Amino acid sequence: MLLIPCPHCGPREEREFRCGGESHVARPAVAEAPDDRTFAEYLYVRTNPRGVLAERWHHLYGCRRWFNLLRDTVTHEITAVYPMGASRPESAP
Amino acid sequence: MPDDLTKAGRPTPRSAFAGVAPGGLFERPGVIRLRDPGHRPKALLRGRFTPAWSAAVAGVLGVAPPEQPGAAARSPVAELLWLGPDEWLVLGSGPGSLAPALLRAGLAAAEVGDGLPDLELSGPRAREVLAGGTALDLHPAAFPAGRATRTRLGRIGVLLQRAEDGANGPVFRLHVERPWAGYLWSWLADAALDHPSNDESFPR
Repeated sequence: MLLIPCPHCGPREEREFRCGGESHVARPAVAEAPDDRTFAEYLYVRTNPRGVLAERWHHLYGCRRWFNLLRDTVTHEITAVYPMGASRPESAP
Repeated sequence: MPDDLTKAGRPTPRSAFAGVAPGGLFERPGVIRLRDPGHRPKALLRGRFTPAWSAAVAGVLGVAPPEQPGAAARSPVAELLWLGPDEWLVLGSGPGSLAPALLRAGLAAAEVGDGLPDLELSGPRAREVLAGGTALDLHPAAFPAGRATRTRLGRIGVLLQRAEDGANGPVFRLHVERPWAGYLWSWLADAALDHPSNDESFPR
């Protein structure tokens, strides 16, 4: 069970949240006429690192807001929480 | 919204707890007491928090919406609970809905009282019974009277509001989406059986 620091509500248990998968996955622009391979990678290929991963989370059973966080996939340590639309913090590992 | 839906004189709505608790009351002496306070108008208020917007709300309700998470504000007209950064629940003091007045002031509001019934939980062990179903910190220092937050209780989402303390300790109001009302009542009544009553020793 994770204790997730919601930027609005403070630390809450994992069951109050829904994970929205990896953050910062950019959709290929239509103007660039992406080929099937590019689009398949956008849909299905994720970085899946052993270490720090940027994830989107939704506080579904709380303030119902989305936010980003950096979670270590080995230790589950959450090192940063930042709003949607912001870029990945550079100070964090 | 048609005005006739919000008039005080409309037929009394069937209680959301009627199916599971026709009397609207459950008591396990020395543990908890559940009460169905009946239908109340509630309005959901949405908006981006700015000084001008806040003043417009205060012009209708007599009090500005709380900006702090979990906080509440009260006026003679209404009580406002913080639900999210741009979302508040307005509990009216009177029998009529406040949504039309908010709409006339150009604010985004919707009457949700029929879909969001609440029950009142009190009794000496109310906090322990709740703690059996939620991971929320219910210690009085972390969740004092006047606070409200959405959380999970016994698998479902509820809006947990701590009202002013009564004679038997804390009083909680649990606002729940209507389809879950019967489940919530039954869950609380069942959870109360896990706690020793006044007139029996524990374990049973």
